[in-house]
Amino acid sequence: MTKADDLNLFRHLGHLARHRELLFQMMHREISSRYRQTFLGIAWAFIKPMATVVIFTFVFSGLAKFPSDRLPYPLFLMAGLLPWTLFSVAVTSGISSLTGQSNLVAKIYFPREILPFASLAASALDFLISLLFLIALMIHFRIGLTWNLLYAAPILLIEILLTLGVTLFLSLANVWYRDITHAAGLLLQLWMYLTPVLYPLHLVPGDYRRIMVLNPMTGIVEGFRSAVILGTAPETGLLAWSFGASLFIFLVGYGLFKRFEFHLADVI
Amino acid sequence: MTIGIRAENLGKHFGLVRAADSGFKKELARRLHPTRPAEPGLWALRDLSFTVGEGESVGVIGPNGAGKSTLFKILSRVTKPTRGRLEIQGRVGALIELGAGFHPELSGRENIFLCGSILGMKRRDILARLDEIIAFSELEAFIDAPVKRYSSGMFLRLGFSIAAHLYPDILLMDEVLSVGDLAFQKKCFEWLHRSLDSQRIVFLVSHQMHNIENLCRRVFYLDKGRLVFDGPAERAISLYLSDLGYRRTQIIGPVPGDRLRAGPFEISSVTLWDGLDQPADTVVLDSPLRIRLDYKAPVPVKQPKVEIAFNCEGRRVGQANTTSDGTAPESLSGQGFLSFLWPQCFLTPNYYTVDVFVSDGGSMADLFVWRNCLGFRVLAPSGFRMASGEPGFLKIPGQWSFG
Repeated sequence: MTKADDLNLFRHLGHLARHRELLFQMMHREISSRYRQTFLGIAWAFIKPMATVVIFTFVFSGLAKFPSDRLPYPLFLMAGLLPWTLFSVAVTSGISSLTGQSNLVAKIYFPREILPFASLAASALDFLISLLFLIALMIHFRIGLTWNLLYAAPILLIEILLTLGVTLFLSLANVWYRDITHAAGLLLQLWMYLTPVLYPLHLVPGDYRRIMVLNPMTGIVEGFRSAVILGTAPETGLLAWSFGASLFIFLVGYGLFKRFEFHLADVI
Repeated sequence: MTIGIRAENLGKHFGLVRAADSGFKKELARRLHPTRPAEPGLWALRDLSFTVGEGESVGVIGPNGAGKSTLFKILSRVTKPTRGRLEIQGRVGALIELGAGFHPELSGRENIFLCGSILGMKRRDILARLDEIIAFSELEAFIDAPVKRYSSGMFLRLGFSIAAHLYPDILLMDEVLSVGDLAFQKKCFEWLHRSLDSQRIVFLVSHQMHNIENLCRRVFYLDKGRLVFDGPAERAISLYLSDLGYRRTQIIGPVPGDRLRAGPFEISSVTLWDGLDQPADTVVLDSPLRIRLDYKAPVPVKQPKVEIAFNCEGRRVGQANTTSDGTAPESLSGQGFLSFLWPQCFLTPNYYTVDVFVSDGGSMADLFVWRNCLGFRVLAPSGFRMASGEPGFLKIPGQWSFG
């Protein structure tokens, strides 16, 4: 394979499409094994965000008096936490998707991106279930729906692109340097505080805000929140930046991944 | 489409990219001692050239570290060769590590779908063969239990059954015939025999020469990454065994060897005793040699056949068994030992190894097989002169007379 081929996204996607059954099987595996042998089962997908909202509401609204755009804080928080959690859980579990299945990687050939891609499936399931919790909150606080809700779909697609790009890169790097596993939790925590999840973006002073909007998650979280609970269209410039940055990260991540794919079995 | 493989000067180099070698401490040491030369790495395979055509079955033999697994990894595209060209026509299926794709929390049935698709099967093909796969594995009763509850034998049986129903054009098998108990092994063996008749190419790695000899007409003998010999099975095997036998001659005393058991019966130890009835690892030519087998038979074994075979330089020298000696024990139960006495051992001075076989006297099925369980040396008595040229393995006892 030459360097020009490495950048050939369509070739890679075509190859992946021929192995789509394996991708679906792996996704199915991730989803169906996630809550096996747990007493509460899928309820965990509900309990975890609920508990987080209760704790964060108490700390950041009850004690620290964070403003929340005149919305009830739990609702405001949940609308930001939902897209953030999708990202952070998917990245955390995706990082070890190759190293955790080294027997497969070292023994059998299939397009390796299937493993990090499939690890997204389980967190997507969690996302859909915690979405029910957000809907419950919206009904409770009597939030009306507008057509701007439709923006949520492209925003989530942008988020998936970003998540896949970051996961591809980090899962690959983790094969060479297991440091990634240890550093990830720390970095994701830091990243969360640098994303307007717990507070609205406009609260941030201008100079800092100019830096914060470079973070592609900023546009995604803000955009999702405004589309779903504020009922307003997301800020176009912010979202466009998020899209551009996410696409770039995805292409670079995927390109690097395919470039080093054939060394995985030797190093893992 | 014709199935075929063409390799030209294949080479695989493992450099220092190993993760274990690239830690911060090592990196620091490298910076602090820039004069220390870099380690050269290792050529796991070098200059391999071969062509394999439709319907061929190729055995791959060689000592550990010869490059057998690396060759399979390259053929199955898990890793890329560092040098050379490889052309493959046909779908490659690797039956390398059975159950590698299993998820412990999922049921046997779910794992069939998962593992099948990892190995490249389409869902509808898996569905079509599902009953066949389950029947072959003999796990009908447990197929909906999570595989983490399976015994290791059940685990392997399911893995083999899935792989056996893959039908790839090129099948790679690495030591998979030593799966499960002897009955299941027999089944796998029969399955393999059937599949050899088809057009596909089969590669088989095994340390069990009788399997290679039975299944493959052509054999690759690899050593230190090079293809030492490529040709008829018998010649490759005898070449390998004589190399191996030569090395094995260093073995003395009880060794782990290769054990196979079919049931609860087991030989727990095999020991050598000399003419003075002392435990020994050497005997002197023409003096008594005794071999003692300690057994455990939780379930009594009726009229077993016990056989002791002697090998030298990879060849069978001779054997003794209870049936032809007419002294088969009525039954073996509990714990005890069997003793075999050779009143005047006439093996020529050399290094020998011992294989032990215990089988059911009625059905002749193997109950316990232990190859290379013991190594010993035969010493020359003082004044003995070895014949020049080829002394062979036996100093045949006899009497000369001159008239």
